[in-house]
Amino acid sequence: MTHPGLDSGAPRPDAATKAMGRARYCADVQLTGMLHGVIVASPVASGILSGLDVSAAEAAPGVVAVLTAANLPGNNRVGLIFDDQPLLVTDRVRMAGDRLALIAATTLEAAQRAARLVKFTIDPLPGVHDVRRALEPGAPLVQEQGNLLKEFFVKRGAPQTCRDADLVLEDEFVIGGQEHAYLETQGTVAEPQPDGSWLLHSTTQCPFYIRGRVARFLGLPISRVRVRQTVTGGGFGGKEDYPDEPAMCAAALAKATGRPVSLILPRDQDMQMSTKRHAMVVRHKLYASLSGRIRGVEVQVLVDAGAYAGLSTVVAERANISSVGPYDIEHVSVLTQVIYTNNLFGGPYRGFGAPQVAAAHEAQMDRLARAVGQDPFEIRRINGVSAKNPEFTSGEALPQAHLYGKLLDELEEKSGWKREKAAIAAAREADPGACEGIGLATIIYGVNLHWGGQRLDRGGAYVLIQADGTVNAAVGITEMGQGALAAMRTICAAGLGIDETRVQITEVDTALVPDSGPTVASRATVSGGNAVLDAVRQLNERLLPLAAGKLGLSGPEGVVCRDGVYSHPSTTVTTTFNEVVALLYGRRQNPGALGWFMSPEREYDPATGQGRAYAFYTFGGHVVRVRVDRATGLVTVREVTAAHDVGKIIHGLSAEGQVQGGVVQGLGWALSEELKLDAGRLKNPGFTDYLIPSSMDIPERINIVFLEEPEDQGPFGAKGLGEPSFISVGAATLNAVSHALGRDVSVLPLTPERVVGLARPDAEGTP
Amino acid sequence: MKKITYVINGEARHLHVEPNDVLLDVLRDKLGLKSPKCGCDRGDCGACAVLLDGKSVRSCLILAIECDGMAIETVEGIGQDGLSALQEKFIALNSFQCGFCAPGVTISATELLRNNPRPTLDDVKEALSGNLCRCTGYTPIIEAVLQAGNEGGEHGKL
Ligand code: FES
Ligand code: FES
Repeated sequence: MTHPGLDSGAPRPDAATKAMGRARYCADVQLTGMLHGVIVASPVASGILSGLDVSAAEAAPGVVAVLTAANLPGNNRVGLIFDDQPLLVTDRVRMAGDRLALIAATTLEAAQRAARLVKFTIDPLPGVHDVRRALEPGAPLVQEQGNLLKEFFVKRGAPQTCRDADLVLEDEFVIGGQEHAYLETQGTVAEPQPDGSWLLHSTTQCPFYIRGRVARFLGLPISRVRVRQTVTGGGFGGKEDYPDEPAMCAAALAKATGRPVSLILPRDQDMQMSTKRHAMVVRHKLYASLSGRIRGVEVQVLVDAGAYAGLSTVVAERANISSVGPYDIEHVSVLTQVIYTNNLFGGPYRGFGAPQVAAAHEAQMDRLARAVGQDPFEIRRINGVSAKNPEFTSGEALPQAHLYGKLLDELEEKSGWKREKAAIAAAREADPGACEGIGLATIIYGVNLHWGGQRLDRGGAYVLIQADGTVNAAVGITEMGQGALAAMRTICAAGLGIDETRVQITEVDTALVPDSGPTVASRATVSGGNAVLDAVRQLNERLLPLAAGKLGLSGPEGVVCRDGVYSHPSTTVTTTFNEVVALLYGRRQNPGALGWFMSPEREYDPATGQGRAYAFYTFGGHVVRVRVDRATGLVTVREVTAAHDVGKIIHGLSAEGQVQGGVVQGLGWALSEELKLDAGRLKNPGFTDYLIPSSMDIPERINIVFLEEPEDQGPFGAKGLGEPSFISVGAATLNAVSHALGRDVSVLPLTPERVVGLARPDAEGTP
Repeated sequence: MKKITYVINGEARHLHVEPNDVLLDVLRDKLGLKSPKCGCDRGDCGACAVLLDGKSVRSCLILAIECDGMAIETVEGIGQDGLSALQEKFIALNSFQCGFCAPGVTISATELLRNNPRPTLDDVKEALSGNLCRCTGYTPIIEAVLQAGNEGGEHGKL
């Protein structure tokens, strides 16, 4: 049953502002006396900065300040978890895009002109560009302490006892990275305040991260740095930690000049410098019996972190536990290595490492199905977690394990799997050159923070009832386009029993709401929503007794508010929300509440990967139907079916939007988005040749299935969806292309050049 | 500096521009019209689109001086007498997520519907092919344009 007030069909709160072109993004912030900042960056990925001359830039018209490591007015360290990165290069250059100097000028053109006058000499050093060679003896060192940053493990059972299995399937998967390509590039406007405190206007998913690092940079207490999130033009993980860097640059220039500074990255710099989905190499070995039951899995994941740690270890931690898939397997060994290279800066991106490892584990499932003559759905039923076999890779028994089988059933039915497969087979019979395929992939995903980050798994919200019966709500989780504020507003209104248009909800201001951790891991609905509900519970404890009095009852039990009217089954008397609020104010009772949420404490052993990795999980899956043109290598996606176990739908239009957007972004990653590197420098830093899907590239049909079985820990039973909507798209596409070509495929993205290579009759292995 | 005149969203405006000033910057910084967005600054993304004498152009690729005497329409003008049928559909169908692409998409779709009030699916996809959107997967945008065409094409305000 749907709770009254959920999924009312109301447009999201920001729909009209955005449709009218009135939303104000970071670059729209204009302040009196504001300067424009630019970054001068290294074009090479590895070397020693032996000369830096900024005198001509300083003398250029309009220039107000030029900063280098020598005169930077703040702490030159950037690292969030590991202290391995400077804001401005002192001597060693480790990646293309490392910052050499910052310039502030009265106009953007003047700053850009001055940037071209900065003279620098970088003596090249050999770099590390292949993650597979980075740990070899004698490999050049990216960081002095060595190229291996960190390792993660799963040790379950004894995989070595499986070596006598009927079947051993082994391969190396080479999976490409991805540019977030949020339409709004990174940036901050830093505004020094008259009292010496700071206000920053930033495009970000994590204003609290910016606050922390800018405060450290300036040497100030965090209460003296206030970050206001501007309407954010997309994030997808790319605006988790990276925005701190342009924010620190803007703050540095503002500190040096005493004036507000707007620093907005141009697209090419944004693509070169900011974090990317990690390129990974996944070595996957699977032991199975002829019945199709998997006995053991051994996985090695090589994560290309780039030159700095950033949040790569956090991404790797998730890749590590996700690398086997939604299967109950007795013997598992996983080794995940996070490795420094001089390539692009790896970081969070929708799915946090899970899409890359899913491509490997799901390709292996299909190969196993072929090897034992089973259907891909059947092989997943045989091995998937279920009420009978509920144990995930971490060894924990999943309370909702039965939902995996249900998801498979729904996905098989809704995608018309059997019919489509028969049609493809018939077409091949008629014309052996016909090249159509269909592929399936499924995943399990913890839609909250991993054990390693559970201290951040919390959320806060203020809900304030105004005297006229309208409501202001402020939450610590961010809207970046995904519809978080719509969900928060719906939850707040449904909890109070009023129409959602009465609730005004605002973007994060770090001075007004508690640090709620990062808005990542598809956790916004749960952590923000539960915090809102906690505030609502406190308010209802004050409102309901007042309403009961108006209804002539002795106590509040059984009093409900629906559409702004309080009622009770025992009486026909009703009273309105406004009347009760008037009473609350009349009695001078507190009209506001601070709600709080924290996920339950969990036990987990990082040495074995056993324990409770996440508070709860979701299942998801995709079926992708393709046509491949062998001559041109072009893959046309005809139909995609997505199935997600969402707990409960809060705002239906937003949920569907997440799925549609996730599918298309996933297809881009799988088929056209290739980061082309030349010794660590991005050769295609723009949308001319880094090809994200356009309206011409979308599938003919996207079918969506939502399973709604409430999760106890979610608000009204809801769980997250933002990332699962993406994760198995790439793997399903890989399987579909493999089906179409009738051969193994072990690489993503499947660009036309690669597909042409794979389609050649004599083609061997993977490119 | 050269003195030029635009008719912007129906109103004549006189201004001074440098020969190398780009239309997008002049609209945003000199005229305070912030709806056109800069997504790439090189003609790839369509976020900066405006209507120039009724035809959509990428304002990041055009010099301000070239548009002397011309009529310019931005999204500020399209919504000024109440929402257009298209904008109403965008809202009802949750067409945008982050919304950064919305101004450019609105310009391209408005141009299409004015010239072709009953577009087909292929017409819509084609008309939007120069407007990148990273959030929505385009489906809810295309659907809104089709519905605005079917329901509001001849009578609605476009
Ligand atoms: S900003 Fe003009 S096309 Fe992208
Ligand atoms: S809604 Fe974000 S780019 Fe279109």
